[in-house]
Amino acid sequence: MRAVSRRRVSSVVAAALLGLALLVAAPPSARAVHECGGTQDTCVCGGANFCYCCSDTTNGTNHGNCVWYAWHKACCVWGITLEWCTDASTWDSYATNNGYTLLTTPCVDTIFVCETYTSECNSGGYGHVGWVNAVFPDGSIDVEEQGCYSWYGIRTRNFNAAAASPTMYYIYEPGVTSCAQCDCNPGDVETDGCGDCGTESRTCGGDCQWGGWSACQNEGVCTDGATQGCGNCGGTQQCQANCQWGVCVETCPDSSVPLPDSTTPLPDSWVPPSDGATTTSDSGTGPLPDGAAPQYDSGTTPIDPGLVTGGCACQSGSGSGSGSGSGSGSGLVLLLVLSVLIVRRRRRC
Amino acid sequence: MLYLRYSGRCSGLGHRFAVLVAAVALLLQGCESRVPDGSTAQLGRGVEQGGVSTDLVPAGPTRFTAATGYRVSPAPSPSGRWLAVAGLRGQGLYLLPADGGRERVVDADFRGPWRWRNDGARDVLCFGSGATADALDAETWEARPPCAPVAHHEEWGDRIHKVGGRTFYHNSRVGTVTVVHDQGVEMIPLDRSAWGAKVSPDGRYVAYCTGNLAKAELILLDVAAGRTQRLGTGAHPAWFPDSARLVYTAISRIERLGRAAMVTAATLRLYEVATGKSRVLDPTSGQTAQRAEVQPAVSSDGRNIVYADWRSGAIYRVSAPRKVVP
Repeated sequence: MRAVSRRRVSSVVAAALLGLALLVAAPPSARAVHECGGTQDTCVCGGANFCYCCSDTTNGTNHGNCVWYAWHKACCVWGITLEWCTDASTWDSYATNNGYTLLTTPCVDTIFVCETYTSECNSGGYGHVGWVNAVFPDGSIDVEEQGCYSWYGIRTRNFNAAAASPTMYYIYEPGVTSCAQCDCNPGDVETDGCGDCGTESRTCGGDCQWGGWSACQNEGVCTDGATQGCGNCGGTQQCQANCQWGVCVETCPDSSVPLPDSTTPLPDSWVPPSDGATTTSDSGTGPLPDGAAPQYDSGTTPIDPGLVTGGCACQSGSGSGSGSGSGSGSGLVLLLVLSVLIVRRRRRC
Repeated sequence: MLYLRYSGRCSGLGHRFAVLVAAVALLLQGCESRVPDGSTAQLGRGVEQGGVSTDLVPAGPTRFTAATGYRVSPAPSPSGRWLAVAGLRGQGLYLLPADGGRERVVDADFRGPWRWRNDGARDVLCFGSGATADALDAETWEARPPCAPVAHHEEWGDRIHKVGGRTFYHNSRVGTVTVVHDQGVEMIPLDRSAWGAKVSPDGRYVAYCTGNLAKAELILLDVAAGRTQRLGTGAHPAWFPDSARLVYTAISRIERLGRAAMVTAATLRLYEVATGKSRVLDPTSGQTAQRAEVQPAVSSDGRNIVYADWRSGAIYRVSAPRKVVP
């Protein structure tokens, strides 16, 4: 009888131990806590959050817990499942034991750890952990965190430099071993050339690292060395070292006559006369050949000669266009003046 | 026939005169800066004098530090003769004479809490944590009796102020300010994410921040009434000795650069408790090359304000206006 009861007791104990072992050894997903402090465990990192979420009668079962949230951030940002979820005060040693870099230098996207009763972060008997959002030039840090019973949900705050270092520890993302390699002095601004004679700049951050380059600004109108057609007689101009177009070199007929200044160019499809002299002008000023007719590629519409008021327009056919129009106007003016003079003479008489 | 003409040419006397006028106008434009009210502020050329230099800044702020080393967290000594500053990321502790002169290195590797102690007429700098902190006489550069650590109570938090028989504590974990006086203990709940609480010298108000510095909001608590008032975006409040005004920083732009965050635009503002009005401390600050004016501190006589520029790593000093609304 005694043997039986001993055997039964042994069986019960063994079963209990087995159950406990299974519970402990069970995969995290089996004990997953999918929501805590109003935050859903939606990130994918190969495993579910198995940290405990503090609960009470007031806030229900998902009041919040700093370790749950730190684990959650590591899953979301680092994309890994942390191997532990013990009391916050032990996270520094667990991190070291699992091969993570642990430093007293704060860094963005690290887990801060306060051991028990650290006055700088007012941690209680279980310590405290949270996530570092930003590190500023004065050494202060922005954090976000959950708490066990102290408050509900996520809160954000700022630790001053004295609190942030050296009393707190920081668990770095796997593969990141340092945060303080200086490439520059914070606040420095570096300017460089870009694009077509433009400038871009970048600012040195509080982490002594250069930030990204700004958009290229104040660019010129062309690429150094490029050429394009210009003027009215098939001229060309070259882009100068300052990324601005140089003078327009044009070829015009010998008999061309200069037109008044203008900035209205002819279309690229316009074909200049082949037997002209070389003319250099600013896009649209130059001689107008007597009797020369404008030539266009087939299918294009001729420009109204009246608009072509400058450059080597290679037009002015007699009896038509602006030339004749101007002549008519001058004649009218002359006629008007003569009329006035005649009227005056008559009055004198 | 060869014609040579140049784009943008100016022919005739009229054109030449116009070019001359335009050139003079451009020259004049470079010598002054227009401020929002339409008036102009003169700019001064940078000069070096001892350890103090003035850069191309409006007439108001004067650059307090030489262009060597990144300095933050300025704190005037009780007598106003010294200015303590920290190095980048709070590493290093330095002293600057308020009237100019060379910077003195207290400890280039120091990291941790530090504060001023007034030993009679002597300015003593306390630095270090633990049971006691080192104490240094700023004038003689001699060690003084160690400083006691900042008082801490497990429930109330750190002691932040003492005036007229009342002692103020701030617990940043649970977000409370506790006032201990002869009649008992009064615990005032703040926002759960309250930090950086500063009690006015007369003990009537507590200014504190909530949220991350990147999006901090400044709140004013009337201790007697237990009433809070949101002052808007702001951080780093600093009280004037008369408790009637405070200066704070309003951060307008923050960028994440690499593994840190950079405040790239911030302006100091002045708030007057009686009127509830605030204004930009230096109206010309927006006209200069983008400063990040943060961490203001008011001198003990209330005449000067020093602050850090997180863009350049320089410390500036500006005269404090007498009123918020002139």
